[in-house]
Amino acid sequence: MELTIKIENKEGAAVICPDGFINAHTVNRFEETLQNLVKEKQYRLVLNGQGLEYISSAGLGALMGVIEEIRDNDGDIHLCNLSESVFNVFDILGFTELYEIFEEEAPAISAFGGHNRK
Amino acid sequence: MKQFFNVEFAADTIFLKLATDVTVSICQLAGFSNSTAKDISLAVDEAVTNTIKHAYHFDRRRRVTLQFTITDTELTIDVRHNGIPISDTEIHLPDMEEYMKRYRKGGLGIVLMTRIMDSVAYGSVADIHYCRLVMKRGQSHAG
Repeated sequence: MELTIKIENKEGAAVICPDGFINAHTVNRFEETLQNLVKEKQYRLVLNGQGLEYISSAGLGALMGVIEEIRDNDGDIHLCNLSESVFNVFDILGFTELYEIFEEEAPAISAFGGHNRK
Repeated sequence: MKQFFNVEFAADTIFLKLATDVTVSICQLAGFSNSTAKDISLAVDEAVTNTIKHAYHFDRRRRVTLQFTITDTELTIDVRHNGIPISDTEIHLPDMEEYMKRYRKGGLGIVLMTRIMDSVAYGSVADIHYCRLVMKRGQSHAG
């Protein structure tokens, strides 16, 4: 399996844990996961990249597809545990200014408490 | 001395991982660092994805060829196809500041390609069209 996605609910946030690759071949699964969470009115999302080996622009496009609705509802997407190569993709595009990135999951979740939108 | 490597596969996104894996291996062979090799493979992923999507409209019966050329000074990767050609004049890089303000979606692949590679160009020779990605070999990219 090129991509499996596990979702855990922690302290009112949905923690999305993709395992594998997000590219144009697998992005539909990632996109559906994000859209389903938004449909369920879950607007506090944490993308835990611990198992994420690779992401292309298709994956970043999927995040962009839901971020407006999420922020319009006072939510956000926090990123954590990104590998150097995955972080690099966000950095090349300047997305590190758009999303809050944390080293670990716990602060990514707790940051929703006194959340400041970027 | 020039070295050439060719890889041909069906225009199916299932082969994107193969394309990126092969690219990493060839970049390492050319002396690029692991980090640069991964960046270059991402640019190839984006070029192949664009080819499958825009040149072939996801027609899996069509073929994509990657041609890698290593010279003393650079690595050139041609992503070739015989579908709908794209010319340099049709390429519009989005204004990223505006893009992020308005939460736009799509068009990021070309931005990644141009920010990673030393040059990105589109062209045609007879009925074969290509996206040419070039990275200079040198100390800054060496492994």
